[in-house]
Amino acid sequence: MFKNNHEINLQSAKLSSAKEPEDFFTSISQFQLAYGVIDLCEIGLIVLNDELRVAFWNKWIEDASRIPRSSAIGRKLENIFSSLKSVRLKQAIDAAICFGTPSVLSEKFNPHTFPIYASEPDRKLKKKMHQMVMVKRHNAIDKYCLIQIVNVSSSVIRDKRLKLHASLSIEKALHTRAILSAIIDAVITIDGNGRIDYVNPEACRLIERSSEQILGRTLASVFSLVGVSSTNLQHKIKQCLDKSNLASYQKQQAQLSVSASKNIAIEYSISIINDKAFDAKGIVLVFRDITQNKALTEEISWQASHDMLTKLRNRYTFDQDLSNLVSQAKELKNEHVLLYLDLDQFKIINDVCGHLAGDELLQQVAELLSGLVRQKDILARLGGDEFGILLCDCSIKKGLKVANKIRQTIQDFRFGWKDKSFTLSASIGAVEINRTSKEARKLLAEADTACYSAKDSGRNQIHTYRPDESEAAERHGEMSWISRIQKALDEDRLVLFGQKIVPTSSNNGEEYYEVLVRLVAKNGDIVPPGAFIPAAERYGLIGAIDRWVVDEALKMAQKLNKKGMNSCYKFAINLSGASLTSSETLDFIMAAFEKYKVPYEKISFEITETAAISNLSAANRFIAKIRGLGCSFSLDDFGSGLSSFSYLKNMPVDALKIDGAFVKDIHNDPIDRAMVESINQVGHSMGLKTIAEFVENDQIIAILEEIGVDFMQGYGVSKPQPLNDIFSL
Amino acid sequence: MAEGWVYRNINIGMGAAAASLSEMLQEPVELSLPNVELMSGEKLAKAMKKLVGEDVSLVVESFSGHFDGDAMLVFSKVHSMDLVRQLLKSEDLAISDLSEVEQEALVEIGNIILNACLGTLSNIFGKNMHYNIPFFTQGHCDDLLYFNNVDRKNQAVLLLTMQFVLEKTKIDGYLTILMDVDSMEIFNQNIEQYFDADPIV
Repeated sequence: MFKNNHEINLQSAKLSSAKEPEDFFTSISQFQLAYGVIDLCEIGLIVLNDELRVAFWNKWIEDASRIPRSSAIGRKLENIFSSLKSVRLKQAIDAAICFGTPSVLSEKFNPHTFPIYASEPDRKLKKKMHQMVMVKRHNAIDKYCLIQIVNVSSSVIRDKRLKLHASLSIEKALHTRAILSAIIDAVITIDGNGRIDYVNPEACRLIERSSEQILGRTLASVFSLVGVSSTNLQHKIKQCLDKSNLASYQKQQAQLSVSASKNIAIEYSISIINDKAFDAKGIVLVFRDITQNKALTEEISWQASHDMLTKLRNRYTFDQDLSNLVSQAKELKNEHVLLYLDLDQFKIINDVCGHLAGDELLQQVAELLSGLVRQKDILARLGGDEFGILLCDCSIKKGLKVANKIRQTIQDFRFGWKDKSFTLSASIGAVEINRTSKEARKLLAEADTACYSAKDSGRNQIHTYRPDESEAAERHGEMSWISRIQKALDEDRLVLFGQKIVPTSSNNGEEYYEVLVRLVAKNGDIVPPGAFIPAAERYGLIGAIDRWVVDEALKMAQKLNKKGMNSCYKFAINLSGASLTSSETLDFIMAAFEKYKVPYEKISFEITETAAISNLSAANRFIAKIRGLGCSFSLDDFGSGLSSFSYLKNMPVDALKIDGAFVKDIHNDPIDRAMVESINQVGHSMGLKTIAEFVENDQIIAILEEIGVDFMQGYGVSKPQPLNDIFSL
Repeated sequence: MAEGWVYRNINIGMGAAAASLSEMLQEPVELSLPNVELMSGEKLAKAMKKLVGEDVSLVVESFSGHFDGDAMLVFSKVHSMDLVRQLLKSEDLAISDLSEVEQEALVEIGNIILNACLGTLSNIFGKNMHYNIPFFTQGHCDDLLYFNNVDRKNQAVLLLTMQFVLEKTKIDGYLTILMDVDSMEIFNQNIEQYFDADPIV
């Protein structure tokens, strides 16, 4: 039936025909022919007889074994090849002889069955031939069997190569697989029939299905985009396969529908997998979850538009909101109000308790303010301790009511930090926004000016913008103040004023003057200290001003001494916090006393409570040194927001100046009066003199006399005047 | 009649084949023969498609003499690769076809099994039977029935389902003996005679 390629049927040799004499020559030639063919065969042929002895041995096996036919014939195989130990071969020979069943001995399972060599070089290298051995019954002669040996070295080599390539491609595939598993993008590949043939773990994760649930399916059945029909998606893929439209499917954004209730935002690209001939073999779809990116983008944009500390809108956003409201007011002819709010005591708290407390305070104030405005109003932190509020659809009248409520709430608010409690106040500038309003930037500047004006007028107030405050606005621009102060110092355009401090009738002390500094503008206007001192403090020019004042005041004292007016004067000079910690200023002051020969007791220094407390040890050293010389010290603005009695014990001062905020309403406000009484009492009990500021009228004077305050200062007593005028110099 | 006889005798032959496979591979191989069926050639193609799918690997050993036919060991293409690669301990190979060397190895395995079966026939038919060297081929299931342009639709088939139980897996293989109807009749008659003569079996 089937003829196998490897099979040589010796029947065709007709060995038996040699015995037929009638056709001898023909037979001889046929025999020779057959013999020649057998010896030309490129396979080994061995015939074993019924005794399992070699009956035939062709040339091929002679060459491969180097055993000549003559010495092989008649011998058993195990005697010819001493190393022949194949049990399979024996079984195969037995099966062929006994049952007539043929056997194949593969090289894989029976390596090198016969110890033979394909060539002389192989023999030298001891590289035995890879062989396939076939054993079958000799059909013509019963109990004889035929062994065929085929050299399969080339297929073994091919097999090895194949395996090498396979293992290389496995490595490559593993490499690719590892990359695809590790990358953060989801990858799906689709074969030419539109079936998914690869999916990476990230894709499984995003689609929320196992690879088994994805592989072999169409893309549209597992990957559905919201708003894109499956046919549409298939169409896109088809377009890609047709190469008709590629570029438009790079980095598309869409919503991937994972389940009925879950969509995720993705970005995806579709590209073709080409073969070497650039024919499309499939599609690769890469996509990634951009939900987080979106959230991140939103987060970033939120951060860009909000103040991190208070979570309120920031100045940038507020400016935009204001612009929008301004144009809205023009279009819809409605009214809004812009409030500019500045905390009055923020700097003190920040300086005394540290930034942590300052931050906490700002957060609490932000929360406080949030509760005071409507949902539709806009609240922002404009920087530092400044807040902006846009009251939408609100008249200025109503707006001022809201502003007052805010002012009142902040005034009533108590800020607790560790064991201390602070009171606050806010200065608020208000500007109406209506259809005639100027551009947003100008409105904000106006509100700022109004706020400044409120601060300048004693804090805890609300001012609406009036155009005549524009000059103040100009003055208020702190940055420009740096150069202006510097210039004024250079050009000696600072001038000393003095305000008389008089003893009350209960006190037999002598009157003296607080030395005040004013800046003379180029046009000759006198600029009050509130306009430039904060800027000088912030930008480090205050030390220079202090030194100027000390120098000028002592120079004046020298003049008065020379004129014999030494009984007419005693000066109180203000020193800033910065000077208290500056050894340069200390040296300067001591040198000035030397220079102008002014008796120390003629000069006292006023330092603010806050400046002293925030640098207590340095301030104490400074005070001790100057006081040691004979000067006296008083604490200015005492009681302003700080529960500072405890500090007082450690402070080597001679007098307390009661904060004017308690004094100016003392005739109306019993609490203020109680405050003044207690400060006065504590001061006296510590052996300190007390001085009341902001004494504006006789009513106040009467009360202060009654309380027993030692000195009074204020418009009700005497207004500040140029020192030169006072002493007619 | 024939099925029962074949089942009993060939099962014994399978035991011997399993023993020689185990010895050759030096690991336990069990061969089980759960089922023997006699059917028409036409039915065989359908049965095979159902059993192994359309892509098949075959080891064919043909026989002639008293009666003619082909003994075939049929695997699904995938199973044949699994079997060879597990036996050759090279299962991780990512080649979707058997190499020549692997084909030869499969032929040897098939040869051992087919001989176990055909040797049983030799017990009955003795030297009157001639067997050819087995060979490997693979192709579509329908090609089973069309070797050498011979249409075997009307032939009779003995289908023996067998299972290779290896260390790691069980692999299904199918042994078929295809004969023309005349041969099958002779086969049956011979079996009956043999059966009558030898009451032990």
